[in-house]
Amino acid sequence: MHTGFLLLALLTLASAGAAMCLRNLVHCALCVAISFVSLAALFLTLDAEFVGFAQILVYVGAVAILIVIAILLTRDISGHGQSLVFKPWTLGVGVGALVAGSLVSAVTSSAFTHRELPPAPAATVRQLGESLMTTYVVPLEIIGLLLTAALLGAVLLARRENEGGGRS
Amino acid sequence: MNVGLEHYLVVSALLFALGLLGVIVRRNLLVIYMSLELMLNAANLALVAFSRFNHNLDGQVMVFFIITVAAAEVAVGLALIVALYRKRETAHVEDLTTMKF
Amino acid sequence: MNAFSYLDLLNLLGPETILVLTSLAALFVDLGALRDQPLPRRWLAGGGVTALGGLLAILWLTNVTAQANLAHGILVVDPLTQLVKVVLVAMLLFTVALSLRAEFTEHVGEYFCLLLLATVGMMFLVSSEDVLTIFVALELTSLSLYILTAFNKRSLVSAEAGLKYFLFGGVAAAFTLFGLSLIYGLAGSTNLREIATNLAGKGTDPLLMVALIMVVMGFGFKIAAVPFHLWAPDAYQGAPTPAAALIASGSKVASFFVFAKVMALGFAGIEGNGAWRQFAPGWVPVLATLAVASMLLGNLAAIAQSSVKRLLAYSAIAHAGYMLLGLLAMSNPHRRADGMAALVYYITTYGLTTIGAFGVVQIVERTGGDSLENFAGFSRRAPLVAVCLMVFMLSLAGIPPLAGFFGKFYLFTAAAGAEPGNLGLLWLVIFAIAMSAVSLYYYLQVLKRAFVAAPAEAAIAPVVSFMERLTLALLALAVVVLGALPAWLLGPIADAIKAAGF
Repeated sequence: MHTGFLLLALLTLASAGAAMCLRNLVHCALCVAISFVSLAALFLTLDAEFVGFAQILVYVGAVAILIVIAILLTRDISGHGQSLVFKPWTLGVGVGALVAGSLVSAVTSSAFTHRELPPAPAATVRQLGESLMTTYVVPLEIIGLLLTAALLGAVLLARRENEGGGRS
Repeated sequence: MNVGLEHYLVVSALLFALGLLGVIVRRNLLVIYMSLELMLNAANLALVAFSRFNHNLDGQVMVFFIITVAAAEVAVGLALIVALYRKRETAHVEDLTTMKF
Repeated sequence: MNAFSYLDLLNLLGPETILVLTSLAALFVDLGALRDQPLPRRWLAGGGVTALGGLLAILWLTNVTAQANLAHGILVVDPLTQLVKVVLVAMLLFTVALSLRAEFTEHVGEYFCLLLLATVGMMFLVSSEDVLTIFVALELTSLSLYILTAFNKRSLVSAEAGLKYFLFGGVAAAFTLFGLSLIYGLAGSTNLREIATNLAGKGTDPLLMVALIMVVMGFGFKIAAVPFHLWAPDAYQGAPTPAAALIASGSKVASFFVFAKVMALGFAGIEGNGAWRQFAPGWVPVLATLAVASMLLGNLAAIAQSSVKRLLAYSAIAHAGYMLLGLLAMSNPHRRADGMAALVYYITTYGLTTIGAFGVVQIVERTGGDSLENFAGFSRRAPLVAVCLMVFMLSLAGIPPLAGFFGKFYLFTAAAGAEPGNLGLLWLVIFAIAMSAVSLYYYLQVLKRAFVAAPAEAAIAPVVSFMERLTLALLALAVVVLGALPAWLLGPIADAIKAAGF
């Protein structure tokens, strides 16, 4: 359990870090996908099977693929000849370090986080599904509207407008 | 030593900060986009860990919703990037300068 | 699970359901029946369908009394939320009335559909006291507004503004989410009131403070408070003008209302202290800092603007600073109702005024652009519209007897009286009054161009449709009447707050 957690945590952070440093966009996307997968594995170590699999399906299966398609559409894979980062990159690193430092110190010094691990919950997909259809039915409806709006907007924004002004 | 809540939270905090770093320093819009997803994922990890240690399901349900929201956001975000690229032939942040103070 | 009636749910969500059905109807009418009709007719038909749905929703909201708290705050319906929803739908209707002559897109059905979905998102936002519903509703509103900002596909600026709005919004959403997840973790609940109960007496834990700051950052973005305001001027300038009007009015009303609920209900107990030289950690000093920064930067930057849309954006940032005073007034649980009443009155009148201002800008834009120069001699080219402009600008500046003055008056007295006896936030109120005086300068700049400056040689009279005249006149009338008789709005607000037991 312990070494497994350590390995997965390292893999998640290392691949995320690599994605932030690499120049080639396809490599970046690959690293981010690896990070998503190891996060899903971390979810499994927390007994959250359903969410773990949903993570793989949606993030690796849909999000990563969509990003790769967008990379190909914008035909800007290698990034040669241009600088990788903004010039005052020290500022960014400073802000990142500040956020990381304050978060980590808050987590370690907080009185809330030192807790015993409760017995594994008997959380089944059935329970999740039931709470989605009862307690959480309103957010579920909002999600439906959200997806409708996103679908409509994405099609509208991404499609080519014909110049003549007529309807396509 | 067992793996405790604080270990998961430290990983999640570091992931969040890495994502933020990417958003701030990288120039390419698509990489910024991936960094944003990493930040959302950091929150997901914190939620799943809390859900396990709080011994209730609410956190997992929230993650389920967040994954869906992220998918919708991806669609809109990439459509925006593609729309801009059609107009500008660029996917870099510093070219977003038509409007100035 | 205990008996869960979907029929009750449908009853509680009547207005939202009507608007969702209307959005589908607008889409189908436009894409199906009117496919080959000329563009102006399609705008009229889409607007008509939307307006009909909006009116039905208002009728429902004002006639069906409902009070319920479903599944621990997932859906809260009470007189106060119904009142705010009426305000939101009214703002949608005014936005629709101003879009009827728009020419920026051919996708009429999609445009109205997204306007309606954004409004539905705001309505859900208003009636939730649960962090999950708040987050999801916030995302529905934001996503629809990103798309509306980038809606003008012929304009470069529009796409760029949409992308900037989206990127800043994405970061803000990530911060909100991380903060909310920490709060869920610390309190073990997603309901705002339960969070406050569970956290009571635990003091100021460092992780709780981090969570608080992250949540404030996320909402600070939505309300465009400094230093999270960077998207606002670009989005206001680049978005199609009616969409900008909705972002500046409806979205602000909903965000402020839910922000106030999160702070006053969820973080009750860790207010801290913002009084002069008695600072203690908590949300009051954090918000006080944001308020000072917003009023200062918003007002000073507005002076330097030449585009009137950007000027309105910076003025919106400054007004977000004033409105934060209303939130601060809610830090005292015994005076919470006063603060809420002042805030709702202020955001309502501010929203109406700002829609009107954008409506005038849209008319001026037809004569070439939205820079200050285009306003030169406007009173001679379109007298009625210019008078409306004067009402809106003077109300934004807070001149009596207009609604903007009474809004500021109630807000500032509520903030000053939040700590009876020691006048803790008096320093902030004095600063706010000083800043309102500064703001008069740039509002008068606009009016000076419109009324005093001579029109340019080539200036043409703008075409103003009947609907635009009617809408602007109604808005100006509302600003005057609500200023002269504030009790007309304050009375119902106070009743609703009392009935809701806020």
